[in-house]
Amino acid sequence: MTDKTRFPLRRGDFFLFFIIIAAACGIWIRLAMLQADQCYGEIWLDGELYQQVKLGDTVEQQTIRLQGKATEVVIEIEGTRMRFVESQCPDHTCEQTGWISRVGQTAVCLPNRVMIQMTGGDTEDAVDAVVR
Amino acid sequence: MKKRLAGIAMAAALAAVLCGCHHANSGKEPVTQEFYAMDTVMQITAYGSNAQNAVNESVSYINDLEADISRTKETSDIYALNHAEGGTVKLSAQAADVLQSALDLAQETDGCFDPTTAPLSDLWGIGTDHAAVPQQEDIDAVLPLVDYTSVSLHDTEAAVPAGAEVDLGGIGKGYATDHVVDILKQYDVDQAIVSLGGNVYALGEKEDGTTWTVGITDPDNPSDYFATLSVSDTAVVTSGDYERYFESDGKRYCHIFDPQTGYPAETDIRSVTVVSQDSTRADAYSTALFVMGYEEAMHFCEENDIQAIFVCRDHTVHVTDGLKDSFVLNNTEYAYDG
Repeated sequence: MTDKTRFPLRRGDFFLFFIIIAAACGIWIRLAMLQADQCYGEIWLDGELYQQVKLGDTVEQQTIRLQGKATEVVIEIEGTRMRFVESQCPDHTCEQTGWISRVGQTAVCLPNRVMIQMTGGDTEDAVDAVVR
Repeated sequence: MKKRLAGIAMAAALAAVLCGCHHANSGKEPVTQEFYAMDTVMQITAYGSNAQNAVNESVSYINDLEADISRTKETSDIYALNHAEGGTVKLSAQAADVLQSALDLAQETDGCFDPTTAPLSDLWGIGTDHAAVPQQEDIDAVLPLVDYTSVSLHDTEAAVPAGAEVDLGGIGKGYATDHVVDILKQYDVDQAIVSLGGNVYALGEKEDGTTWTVGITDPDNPSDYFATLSVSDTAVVTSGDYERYFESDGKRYCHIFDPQTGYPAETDIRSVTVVSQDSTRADAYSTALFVMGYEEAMHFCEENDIQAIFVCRDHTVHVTDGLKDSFVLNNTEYAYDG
């Protein structure tokens, strides 16, 4: 029995293995970075996730209308930020909240049980919760 | 040749597994539940194999607590107490415990936190669409009803004078937080973020072993935070003049009342954040410190070893010694001497 029959791989095969593993590592790192960097704007309706929107500098302005628990609510998304634009609720606190743009920030329309929040984005200034 | 192909296939399989590991290795997936209770939005994010059961029981607990201590639900013990026209009412053990905590904290803060300011809240209507500055004679008429010492509680038998009302909303979320944390621990959850209407509790540490980062709301821009705190195993509670308020003739009237004057508290403080392992106490202290004003409040903190962050009207920020290492200001509009 020769060495060749005991060990059938050639030098070129190791090179191929290296390419495959390196490519896999590259893909893995890229996936991890993409997931870590990606910011999302989430709209929650009465405790359920209603819509999740990817946010980024190239995201164009869009308006989302949804029926809240009491009235219709209008939410605006633009680039890396989002806000309540209009609600027919009595206090309009949600409209006064303004834009939210940093991970961990939330805004709520209590009468309509609609909450918007920023998630994702493993950035340095991200917070796990905001006390208010 | 077959062995070579098998080797390459194994390498490809290893690569596929490596890519597939991306999600599997990204850590334990948390359970997040958002829900509405006690007239506010709540969110619990918990990690661990029992997290879902722990969160479910926490939500159930909060709903039960609200059913006991709500001032507006007609079936609650506190509603019955407030509408007994001075008569004695037997409370559930839980409602009695919350009431006892509120009375103890009122005494400890010399009435700056007072669970009997409800007649003032109703009179001023803050947080409703009919909020307005009342006539002084109307304030004078309800002010005698605001007095925590007039509440009697013996075991579970309670009474308040006719017309007076107990409102446990001032410590309800803090009390709920403490018990939710106990429930989470019973289910072996050692990592969680609990936010009950903005009252935060950070349980344990993050998966990478670092502390949790909690933002503190910017009083000038309540959608944002002006500073952060690094914390673990502690409650963080804020009271501020931006939470619920109305403006009349260019003046802001907030929802926190000074039990002595019958007016919304008007001091040199915009917000107070209290950090404590006891969320119930933090809830009451934050209100009391807001009412006291900065000088008295800082003195009270020093005497009672309370850790707090004050934002004053002149945009200065003051932090007690125990928090200076974990506090980071990230808004240049504020001046911090730490």
